[in-house]
Amino acid sequence: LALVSGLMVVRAKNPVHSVLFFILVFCDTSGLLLLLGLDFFAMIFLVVYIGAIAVLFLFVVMMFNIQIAEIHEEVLRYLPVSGIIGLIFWWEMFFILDNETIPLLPTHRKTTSLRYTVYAGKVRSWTNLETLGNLLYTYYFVWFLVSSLILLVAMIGAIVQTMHSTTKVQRQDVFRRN
Amino acid sequence: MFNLFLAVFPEIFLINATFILLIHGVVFSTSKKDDYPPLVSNVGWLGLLSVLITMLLLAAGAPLLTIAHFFWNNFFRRDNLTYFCQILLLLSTAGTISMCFDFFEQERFDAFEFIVLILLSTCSMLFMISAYDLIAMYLAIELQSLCFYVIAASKRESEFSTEAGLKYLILGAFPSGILLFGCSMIYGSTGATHFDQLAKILTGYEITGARSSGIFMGILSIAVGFLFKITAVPFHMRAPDIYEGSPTPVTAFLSIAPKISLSANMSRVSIYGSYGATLQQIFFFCSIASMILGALAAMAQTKVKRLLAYSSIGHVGYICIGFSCGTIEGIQSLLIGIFIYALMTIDAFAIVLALRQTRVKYIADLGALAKTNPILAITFSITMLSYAGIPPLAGFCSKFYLFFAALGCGAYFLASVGVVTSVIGCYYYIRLVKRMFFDRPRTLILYEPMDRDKSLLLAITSSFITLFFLYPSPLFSVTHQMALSSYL
Repeated sequence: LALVSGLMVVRAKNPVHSVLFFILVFCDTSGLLLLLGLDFFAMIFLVVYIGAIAVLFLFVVMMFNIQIAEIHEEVLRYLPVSGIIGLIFWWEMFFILDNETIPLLPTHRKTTSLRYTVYAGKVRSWTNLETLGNLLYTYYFVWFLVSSLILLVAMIGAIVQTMHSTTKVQRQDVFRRN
Repeated sequence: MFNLFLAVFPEIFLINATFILLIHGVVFSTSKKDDYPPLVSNVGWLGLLSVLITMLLLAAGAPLLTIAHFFWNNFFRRDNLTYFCQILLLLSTAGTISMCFDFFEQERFDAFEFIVLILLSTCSMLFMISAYDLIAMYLAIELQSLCFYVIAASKRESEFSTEAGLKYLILGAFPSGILLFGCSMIYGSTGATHFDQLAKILTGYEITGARSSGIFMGILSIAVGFLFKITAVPFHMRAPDIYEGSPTPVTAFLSIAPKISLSANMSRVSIYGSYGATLQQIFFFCSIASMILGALAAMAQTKVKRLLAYSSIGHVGYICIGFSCGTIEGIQSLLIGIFIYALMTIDAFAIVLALRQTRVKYIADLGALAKTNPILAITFSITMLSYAGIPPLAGFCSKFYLFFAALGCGAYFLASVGVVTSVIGCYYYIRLVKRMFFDRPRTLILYEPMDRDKSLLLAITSSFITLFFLYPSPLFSVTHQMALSSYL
């Protein structure tokens, strides 16, 4: 289901439909993760991906008037290059996955400070993932702080880019278009 | 446990200074009582002061470096390599901040967050240099890149700057993704992200037959991501546009600071973490391609900043020679190259900033600089000749040592390509000099004298460049120590 939804994201004509399929992809992936037994990870998926990123996409789609363009005839033109790139990627993935056993540990995401919860969750099956995450904040807190700095930078960046027009600044020259 | 925090005191101080400056800027620049003062210069001077104090803290805290065992999992500050690299980084940041003040006044640039972001990115680069874990490295790279995305687009009236910021975002976010992919592949194949553990796991990489291709992909992806970020050649695609479009102090930062920190970090990763020959081929290829492209493409340029961008790409190629040979001389030559490159670039950008009053963008505007402002012309030509590698100047020493190291590890082709492209590169550097001294433009452009900070900076750096060959041994011994410490 996740694969089909992913495909439909790219092919849907209406951009709102593609954002909805995007959300569906994330729901499916988090369901898959739940089936794999990673409860914390699936919840984080829901919160981060759907809550933030898909909402971002929704805002973009809603705020800009994207014309519904008929692009069927151009798809075939783009197909060779994208096909080659996709084939290279698939070949590399196959090459890697074929030569070793597929690792049991999941790849880590942006919320890095809690990665070791999953790792230890496999080893010691009696602990809940969340309590272990809380414990290991003492070991990897530095990364947590750096992540918070990153988010601070994002906030400052957004303000720098957009807030100038609203704060009045006195100048010697009057001619300044915001 | 308190003395463990003392070891990271420079970074703690810098972060606190950033926060205080941010709050100070926000509170005062929106207060109606003080009539909304533009606070850039104020915050700028305080930022400069905090960078210098951080450097003092770092220099004075040297005996504390060995105490920080608690932080081994996150980052571990080595005795020499990180120490000197961080001092170099802070020095160059202080230099570039001091270049900015005139720019702020002329352009009426009122965003004090510029300085705050520069301070944050400096702090993240400090963290990156001492990073000892793949996650810490990635976080620090991400933080630094984010700060730069924002300040590259900060001059909002000119759409040039916005375009540059957007291109930098795309050019920077993509390699961050590739880096993360590499880190996760390595973690998935080895179960370890800390460099100590990686070093132990990957020692038998080439010898035994157990080459896991996941590790190979991981290391390759990390190398590719890193090469993207220092704009080496097959991955340099938008770099000249970014360099040209951003406001000039931002370009100065972009070409100095990430290169220092990323080179230090990457040398740590590739020499200590994964001592295998897998990275060597890609660095070979990239350095050759960078040198060739840097030399050839700069010949067709007509704008000064693009020329500097291409010359920095070429110089990155030379620096990657130091990477490609995995010997101690290689790393030492790399560090020498970076040190001299940082000084030359500060010099070059200080000159470009000094000439900004009349919007010099094209090379033709430099014409007859010798008649209107002879000392500036001499300084500029010294910098350009040092880039080109003319013998008595510092650039020659760095290039000589780089080629020497390359020959020492048997990379004869690399050294010969380096020499040839260096000769080709001389052409356009000397063309700049010629344009300054011997051309006669249609209108003589009159330049204002530049302010005190830039003149001081120019004096220091150009005197270093000219007098380096007289007494190069402190730098050589320092970098030898630095290179040694990354092997222990």
